[in-house]
Amino acid sequence: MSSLYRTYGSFLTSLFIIMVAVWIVALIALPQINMIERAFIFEPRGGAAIQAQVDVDRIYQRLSTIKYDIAAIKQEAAGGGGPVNPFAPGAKIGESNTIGPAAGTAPGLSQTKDSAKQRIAKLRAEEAELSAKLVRLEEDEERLKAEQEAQKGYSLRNFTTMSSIHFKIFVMTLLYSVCVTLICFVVCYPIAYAVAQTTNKERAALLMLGLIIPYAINELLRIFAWVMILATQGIFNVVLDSMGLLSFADGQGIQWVASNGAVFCVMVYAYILFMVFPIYNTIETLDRNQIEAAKDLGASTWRIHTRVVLPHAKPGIAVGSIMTFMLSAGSIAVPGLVGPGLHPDWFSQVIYRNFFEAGNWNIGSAYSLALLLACMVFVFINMVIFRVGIREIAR
Amino acid sequence: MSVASKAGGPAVSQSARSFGVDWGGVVLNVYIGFFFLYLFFPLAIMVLAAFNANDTPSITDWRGLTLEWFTGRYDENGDLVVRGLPQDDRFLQGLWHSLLIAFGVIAVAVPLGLAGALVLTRLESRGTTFLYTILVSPILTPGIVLGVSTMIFWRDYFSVEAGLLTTMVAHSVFISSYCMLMFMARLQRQDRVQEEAALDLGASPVLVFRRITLPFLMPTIFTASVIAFLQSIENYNTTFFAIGSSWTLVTEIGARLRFGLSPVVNAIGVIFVLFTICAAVLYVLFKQREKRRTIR
Amino acid sequence: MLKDVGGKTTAAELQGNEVRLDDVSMKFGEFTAVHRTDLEVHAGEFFSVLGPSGCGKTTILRMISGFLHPTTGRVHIGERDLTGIGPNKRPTALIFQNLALFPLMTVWENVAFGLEARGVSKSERRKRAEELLTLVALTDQGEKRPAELSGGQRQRVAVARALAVEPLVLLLDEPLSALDLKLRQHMRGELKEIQRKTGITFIYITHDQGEALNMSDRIAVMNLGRIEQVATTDEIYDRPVTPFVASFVGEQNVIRGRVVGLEDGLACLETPHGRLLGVNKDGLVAGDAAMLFVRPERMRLIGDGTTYRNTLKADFERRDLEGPFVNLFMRAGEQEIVLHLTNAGEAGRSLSGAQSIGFNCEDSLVLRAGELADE
Repeated sequence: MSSLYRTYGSFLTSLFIIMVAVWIVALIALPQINMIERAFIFEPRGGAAIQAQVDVDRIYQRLSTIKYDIAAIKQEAAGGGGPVNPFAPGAKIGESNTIGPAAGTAPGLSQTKDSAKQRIAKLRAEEAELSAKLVRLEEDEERLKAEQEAQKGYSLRNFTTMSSIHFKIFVMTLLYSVCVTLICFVVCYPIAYAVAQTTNKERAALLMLGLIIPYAINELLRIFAWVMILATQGIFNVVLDSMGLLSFADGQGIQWVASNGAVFCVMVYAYILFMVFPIYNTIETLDRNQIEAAKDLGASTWRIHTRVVLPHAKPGIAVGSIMTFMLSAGSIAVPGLVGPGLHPDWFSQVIYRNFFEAGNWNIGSAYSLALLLACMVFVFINMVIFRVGIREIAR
Repeated sequence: MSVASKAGGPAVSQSARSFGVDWGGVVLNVYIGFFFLYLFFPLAIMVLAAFNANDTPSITDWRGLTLEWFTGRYDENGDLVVRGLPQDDRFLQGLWHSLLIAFGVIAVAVPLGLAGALVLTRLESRGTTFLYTILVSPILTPGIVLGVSTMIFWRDYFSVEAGLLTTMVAHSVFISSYCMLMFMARLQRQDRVQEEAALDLGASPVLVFRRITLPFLMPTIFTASVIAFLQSIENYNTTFFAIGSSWTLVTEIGARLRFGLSPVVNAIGVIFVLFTICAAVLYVLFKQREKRRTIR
Repeated sequence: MLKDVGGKTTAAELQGNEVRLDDVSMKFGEFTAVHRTDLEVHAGEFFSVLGPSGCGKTTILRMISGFLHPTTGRVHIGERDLTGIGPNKRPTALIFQNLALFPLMTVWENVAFGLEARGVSKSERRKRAEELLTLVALTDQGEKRPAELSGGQRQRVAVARALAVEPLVLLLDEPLSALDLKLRQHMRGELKEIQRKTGITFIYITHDQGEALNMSDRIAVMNLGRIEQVATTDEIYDRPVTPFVASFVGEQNVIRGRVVGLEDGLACLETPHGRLLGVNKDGLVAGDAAMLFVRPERMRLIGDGTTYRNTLKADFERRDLEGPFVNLFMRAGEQEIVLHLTNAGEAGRSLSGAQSIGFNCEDSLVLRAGELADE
């Protein structure tokens, strides 16, 4: 703190510290805490209490209408127009309730005094009946609300009410992501190694260019490209058709996109480059002489890699795995675009549904939290297995 | 014992030379070739389909070469026959939204990242690793969680509905972290003696910052702004959850794709690819030039 | 002459530009870089702090310039107690070891930076900068960048930059160590000239004792965080008070022995080469372990008729020619003896075998046995 203060003085130092504080609190901590809090608040959305409330409201309305009707009849019987009943059909809301001859809106101008008394009596009867009903209904409403309130509050219900399907999806998503990560690693490692060890500068630059361009193209477009290939009219089927393995004429185009397998393949394609670059970065710092020394001592290729290269590349592998896993587990683009609706949901889609289709924000928060925890666990496991600190994960 | 590598080939697997051919190297090169094919093949298809006069993007069902998806086409009466890129209002508006968000992100993320980097590099207490972990954590957080938490937070506390503002905030959370890492890398190579010299000559701390530190950081500020811009524009996961009822160029692409394929997207794809190739080539050339300069 | 800059001192406020350290020490955790000490630098003098690496001289400099806060004690410049005041508010200017010129600014902007910090207008700054550049003989280099200048030129920019703020005290941190020999000698002269002209108190730290002797009015010799002696150059050279100072500054022949008595106020030392007499600076008495120091240029080969009270015998080993001087290396048992002669007359040509060497008692110094400076 003193070094900071001495160089930048009190004004700048406090400015920087405030900015960092705002960043931490307003952008990182509070939103997460808020989400976590929501995740633990169970909001029962029972219909019974709401229904009771609706009924009660309706009765209140009817009672008010009755009051006005009675008053109107009385007025009318006393002669002349009465106040405009704002609840009567046809009355324009907003117009002032002027007393005086209304423009043809007072009902029943031509009715006699006798039937007026009858009608008032009828209305009063209804009023009494409704009032009694009201009392009962309000009691019910209170009771139901109290029941709901008792259920509200911090609990794990958001998590425990996760249906078995959702839970299965959660686990499957995580497993798939792990598989994606593993495959990406196996595919990427030779590439990263080859590019890092290229001695020819032009070739190295060209290879890097070849890696950067697809990486820089938006993931959606890359996914789209694959969807095109896998589509019913896409290349895959066309090739199979031309090979005679299936026939379009018979309507046999395989809907490749309609499976979790397709999602899996596209996901590998989408995120594979996130594994290449970190590993490339670490292997590039490896002194080539070490490999030559190992060769000189008679080590086989397998041994060179497992004992010399891989240990050196550990931080890169850790970073690549973390990124790939995180992107796969949290991917909404791939499952959303590869055959939407044609394959079982992924967890990210479940979260989406909870927020934007069911309006179930607390459950959505709970699921988000679950995802976050899963990722944190994965990060932690990686840090332990590869023995990397948080500092080395910086690119 | 010197290891002679094949001209242009990776200096790898010099063992097992059968018949004078380095099989290990050959296998590796073939593998690399297949990998790049795997990477570029889908992109090539997507690019080609943008020139196909077919309502459904495809290259198997070729109906003639056309640029209409890029320009649109009006018939004799001036009615819109083919809706191309310039006529697609939602895309254009989405682009506008994306730009707004991106510039907002630059204005927030670059200063925050700088502040974070300055504090972390000058702080001398033992809490620096902890602080570092917190500030870097957004990078390790799934985009969904960032988007969701930001959206909920702003609704709960400020009654602001999900939209452009929340998206910008959600982006800033993790882009600031990337900016901070870039600034830290640069600051760690700084020779603090100059700041001391400036102080010694009587400069106030603000002057030192303005005339010594900031000029030193200028290249990084530029780079960080570019990176922030790119990351914001092309982000999908976080944006999807924080954008609410509004949309960006990328979410609009996603929406279109969900409900069926459209060649206008291919057209956009082609533009993206061209842009990316140009940028990547420039970047590599720039790096080469920088390397050559430092050697001299 | 000096403008008042809010916070910075003016000539009117201080009685002078002397520097005083009162009971100052510097500890970093368990390690003591500078032990408690006093130091006084006279107004307008060229003062050097001399010592090997790690002796604490840089620490002292940083305490005076304000970059380090002393663990104990106070720092005064003139009448003002500057302890606790930041470096940008002290009337000092520091010339860093690697100069620390601002690479992104032009030469004149570098020189004018201190004025910029004081809010001087741009045209005025420019004028002052040009004046100073002319003072250091860099008249037309104002628009260049530091990277385009040679080492010597950069040195002078650093000096001009420091002078621009009209400091009362100029602190120099081994500024010439990176230069080659000829340039170094030239710069020494220039710095002395500037100091004479401006009257600024110079505090110059170096590990090169020749440089210190050459440029300074007074020298402080430091070792392992302690100031061993503060004196004028002649005194440091002729009358060092500890074995370290004696052996660090200049060349010495060191003969170890034991005091056996006093003769005419001189200490009589029993050595492997016989009895030798020397000035008894430490007040030693019979029985004390002691070292006798005599400079190579004060020793002579006996044979020209002169008689010396101190004599010893040694075998000639070799003769090293140094142009105007000649070094004769002799060996007496385990001991190497070096003679430093002017290259005139015989100057040790065609010597061989055993020789007799003589030297005066006044030229030999007897000190209590102690640590010598490393070679």
